[in-house]
Amino acid sequence: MAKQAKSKTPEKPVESFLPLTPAVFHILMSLADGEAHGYAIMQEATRRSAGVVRLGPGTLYGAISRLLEDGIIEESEQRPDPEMDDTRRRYYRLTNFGGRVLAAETERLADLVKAARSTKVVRKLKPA
Amino acid sequence: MSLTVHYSERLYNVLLSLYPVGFRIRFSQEMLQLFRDCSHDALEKGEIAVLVAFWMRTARDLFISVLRERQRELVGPLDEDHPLMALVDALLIPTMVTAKLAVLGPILTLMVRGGYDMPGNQFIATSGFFSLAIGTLAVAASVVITRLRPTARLWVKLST
Repeated sequence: MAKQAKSKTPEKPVESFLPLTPAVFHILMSLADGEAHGYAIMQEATRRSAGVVRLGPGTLYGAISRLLEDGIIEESEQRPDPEMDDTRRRYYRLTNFGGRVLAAETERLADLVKAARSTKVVRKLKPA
Repeated sequence: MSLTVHYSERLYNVLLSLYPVGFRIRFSQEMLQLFRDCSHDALEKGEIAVLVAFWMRTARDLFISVLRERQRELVGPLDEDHPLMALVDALLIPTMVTAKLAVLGPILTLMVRGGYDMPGNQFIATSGFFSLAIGTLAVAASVVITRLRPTARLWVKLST
């Protein structure tokens, strides 16, 4: 049975974390489908952004450190099959609170995109 | 090629010591592992130029993140409501003003006296008096301004 790492209960409202930086948004998106280790998060962020977002080790673990402190993600003690496992790696996953932060940011961005699409310039100059 | 990766890793491991101790203890092994994985990825593409480009990106990332983590260690998270930030806020303006007035004191003395026509001790005492008097007023003013800040912020919030 998987054990969950304890995380502190977030005290701040979801809105106080918005807007998220692109790096943090990509990290949370990478964890939205399940737990992952640092390398997997980095690869997923690069893939999703078509190479635009490239998280270096310092940026990635700096963000992970803050997200752990804020209770947005937590370390998972669930390990993959021993044959596939690399004990040097740590796995992270979204908390329920982190899920709400990601949902709120997605909603905020969707509203922004909607507003931008309603402007004349964007309607006229749609990319080919 | 593997020798390049080996020395690359050793250098990165040394550079990790630039991070604050707590951060290093918690994340350095993972960061080193990530660096190792990325080095191998770069070399799989077969060109040393790819590894050089990766190193340049990593050096930039290291420089920025070391500064950020050191800043976090010094002042905590950059939260405006943090008591330490309030203290820095409260001290910043008076300190700057006092420092400037320490320079302005002697100049003011020269202007008031119309030139340097007094004994050295008297000049130091007079310019010191000016610096101290105006500095005290500036400190008092900035304390009042700092106390008024939440009200001003509330007023701005309500009026927008």
